[in-house]
Amino acid sequence: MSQLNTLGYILLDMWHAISTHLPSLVWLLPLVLLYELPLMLLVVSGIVRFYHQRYITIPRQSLYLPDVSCIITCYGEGDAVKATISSLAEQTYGGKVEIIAVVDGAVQNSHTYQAAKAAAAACTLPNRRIIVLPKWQRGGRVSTLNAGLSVASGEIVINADADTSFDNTMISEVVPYFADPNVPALGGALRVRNVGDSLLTRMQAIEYLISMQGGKTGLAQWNFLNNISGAFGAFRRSFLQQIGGWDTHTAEDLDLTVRIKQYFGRHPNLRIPFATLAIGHTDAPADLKTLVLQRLRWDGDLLFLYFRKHWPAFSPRLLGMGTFIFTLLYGFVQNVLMPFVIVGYSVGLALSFPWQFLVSISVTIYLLYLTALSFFYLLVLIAISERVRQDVRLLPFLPLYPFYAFFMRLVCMFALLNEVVRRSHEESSMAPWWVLKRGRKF
Amino acid sequence: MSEVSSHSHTVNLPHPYYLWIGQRDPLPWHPWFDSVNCAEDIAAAGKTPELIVLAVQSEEQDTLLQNLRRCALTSHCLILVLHESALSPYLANGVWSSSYKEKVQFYQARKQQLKLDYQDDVSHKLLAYLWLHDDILLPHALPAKAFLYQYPLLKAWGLTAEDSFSWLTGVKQQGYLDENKLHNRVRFCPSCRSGHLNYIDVCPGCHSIDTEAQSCLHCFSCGHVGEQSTFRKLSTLSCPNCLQQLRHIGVDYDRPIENQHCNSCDTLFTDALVQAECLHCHSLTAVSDLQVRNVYSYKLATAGRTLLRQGRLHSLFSLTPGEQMPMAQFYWLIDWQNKLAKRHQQSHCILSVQILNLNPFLASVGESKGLAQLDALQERLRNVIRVTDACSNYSRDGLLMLLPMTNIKQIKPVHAKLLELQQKQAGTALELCIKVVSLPANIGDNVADWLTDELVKATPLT
Repeated sequence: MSQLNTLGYILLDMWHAISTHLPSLVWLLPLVLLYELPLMLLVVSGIVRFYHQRYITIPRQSLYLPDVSCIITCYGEGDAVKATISSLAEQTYGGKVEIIAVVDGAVQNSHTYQAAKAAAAACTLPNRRIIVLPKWQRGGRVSTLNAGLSVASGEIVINADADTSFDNTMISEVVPYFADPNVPALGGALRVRNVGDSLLTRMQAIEYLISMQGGKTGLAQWNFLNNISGAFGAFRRSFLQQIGGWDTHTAEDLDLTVRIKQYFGRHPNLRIPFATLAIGHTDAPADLKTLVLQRLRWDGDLLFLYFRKHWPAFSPRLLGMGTFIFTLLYGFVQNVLMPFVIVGYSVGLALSFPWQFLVSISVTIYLLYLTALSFFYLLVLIAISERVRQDVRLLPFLPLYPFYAFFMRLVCMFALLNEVVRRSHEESSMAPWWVLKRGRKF
Repeated sequence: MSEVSSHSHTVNLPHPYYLWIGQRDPLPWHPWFDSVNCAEDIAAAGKTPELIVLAVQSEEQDTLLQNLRRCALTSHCLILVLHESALSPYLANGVWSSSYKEKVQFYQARKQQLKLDYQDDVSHKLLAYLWLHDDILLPHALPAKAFLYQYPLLKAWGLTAEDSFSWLTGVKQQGYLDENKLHNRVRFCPSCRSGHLNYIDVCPGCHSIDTEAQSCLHCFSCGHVGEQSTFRKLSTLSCPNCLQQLRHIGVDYDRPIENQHCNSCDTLFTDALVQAECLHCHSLTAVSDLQVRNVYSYKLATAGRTLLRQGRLHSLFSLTPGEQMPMAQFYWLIDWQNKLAKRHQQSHCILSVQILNLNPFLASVGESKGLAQLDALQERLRNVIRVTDACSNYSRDGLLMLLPMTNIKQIKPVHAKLLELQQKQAGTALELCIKVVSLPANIGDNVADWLTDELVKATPLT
């Protein structure tokens, strides 16, 4: 009981100090303030700007209706591909839509192939053309995307995973951005389709909502979009073919984003927007093991791309000064150093202070984090979310999110170490070994 | 048979009466031919030719074939054609070639076995024709005609296309014909019997033909179903009824199955009503009310073959003693004799003679020759038994004989005679299995079932 009293005193003392003497916060959370605050400001101002553009100015109806090709990368998704094809065929977009379902390893994945063919046969809608392209020998994700690109005829190419389905306004949300000739590509918003599956999927739903919908909307307003997701992105076909399509190795989506950004220095007007209201729904990993494996891949690939593959191109001359500084701070430092700093900071605290103090400071940090989280959650809910009623249901799970986030930082650190020590990018499951072997070594 | 070159005009050899109609281009292997110009000439000659060869143009050939088959003298002749024409598959018996001899021989063998006097009855005519040429009665498709299908052979014998279908069903019910293959199923207008129908889909409510397929949506939140265009709002979809925005197919809305729209009564429906409009009398009929006709080809049934070879119809009671009697009569006789036996303390025997290798036997000797041998065997059997013995048709239980006032111990001499008969056969042997059942017995209601059971139980005599 006396222990709890001690805890209580320390907490009260701490909160009193913060409320009466605000600058002490700087000493408590120096790194957070240094790195997170500018980012937060960017994001918040970006979201406000988005809100103003979207809902306060008068909407214009675009008369630009180019042909659109959607490349669906299918592997072993089975019947899920039917929902993807029908959600693309049912788009309200007035122009022509070509849907190319590329089935990788169609021999092993004959069920997926048959499902795609059945969905293609069932579609008789006008202005919609469905091509099922079987690749008999497995070639991996990149070869699947490039095969789709080679048959695509639309002016705009949208890539989608076979387990991602789309809102019917997706294409009509995406296309008007391309009316600006300075837009070579854009990112689309992803939501978690299987929110109700487990606690983990609810956590990921919060993560997608805040970091994808919210974070990317904010950053893209200042042309700082960090990544065009591999599950949902849109490209101008001529530009994509000019830069050689997707490149082999893992993390082809981040690779492509970085390669597009390398034109920013020479073409300062180029921008990569984020189509906040073009919504794709994807299945998030429902169990811990799949989730951890997914994050090991994502975070490890980040390091591989920035430090190994694109290290020589990392210069203000190619990226432009703004993008260079942003990528330096929030591509390299935040993503690569922060996990170590946070873990180191936590371990340091644990070693140098008595546990009562440690618990108190953890509670304080937790509460501060939760406050910031709640602020962003409300901001996204008000300014961005198109499914407010659905997203409000995540509110009870918000207090658990800081734990999830901390755990993910640990996973991230482990992934980075794994890449540094074991070169994990070379054992990607996204392509068979005989394809990876042919790629350039970094 | 003499084969003489057509160039020698001094032949007086007794050659068969072969006829050639039309252009003649003799080859060395050709037999002697008499030449005529038309069907009437044959009728005037008054003699049935063994073989007729037609060498005329297609259209003329079809008319000629119809005339030949109509004429009683040539209706069953072997007719070969030089070239196939529209009706030759139905009315002629093949193409003229150097292998004609086999056909002639086969035809003559069949003709010898034919005992039925067929000319006065169309059904007998048909059976005889199918027997003589080992043929199948084929339907001929005539899409331009309202009746769609007809049997050219029956038409030549005066049956109209409409009548021939029901007539054939009648012959089939008598057991003389079997269906060979179902060629088609056609439907006819019930009021004018025309097969020229136009199938139209109409609204199930008001029967208007002004219907069209329409893209409809179904809102999940309020259940509203309406045309897709009423849901459009700029680039988004929202339900015109509950104003809910519909974002994702399968989650917020879907396409209902009802996708047909009637422009005159404004209803939505799934399946249109299909009606048949007759192109001749313009009456509208529901598809289920149309007259359905199955178009079959027919082949001879076993009963038909028996009739042809034995040359008469079985009346219910066989009149000559020792002659075979129909099964119904035989069963009745057993029943009656059994009752007599019980009352007067008599004993009778039923003898079954079963041929074990009937099918292999027929296959090895050839059907017509085999059947002739069987006839001969039956003839001899008739000599073996007494005139008071009753003898049934051959059935799955074998040839059944009722030997009245014969004790089972007295069967030995009959058995010996039968064995002797079996040994007398020439060529491929028929294996006989002989069984005996004695009367009186408790037969029950169904004589046939009782007899079958008893025969299965009985041990063969050796």
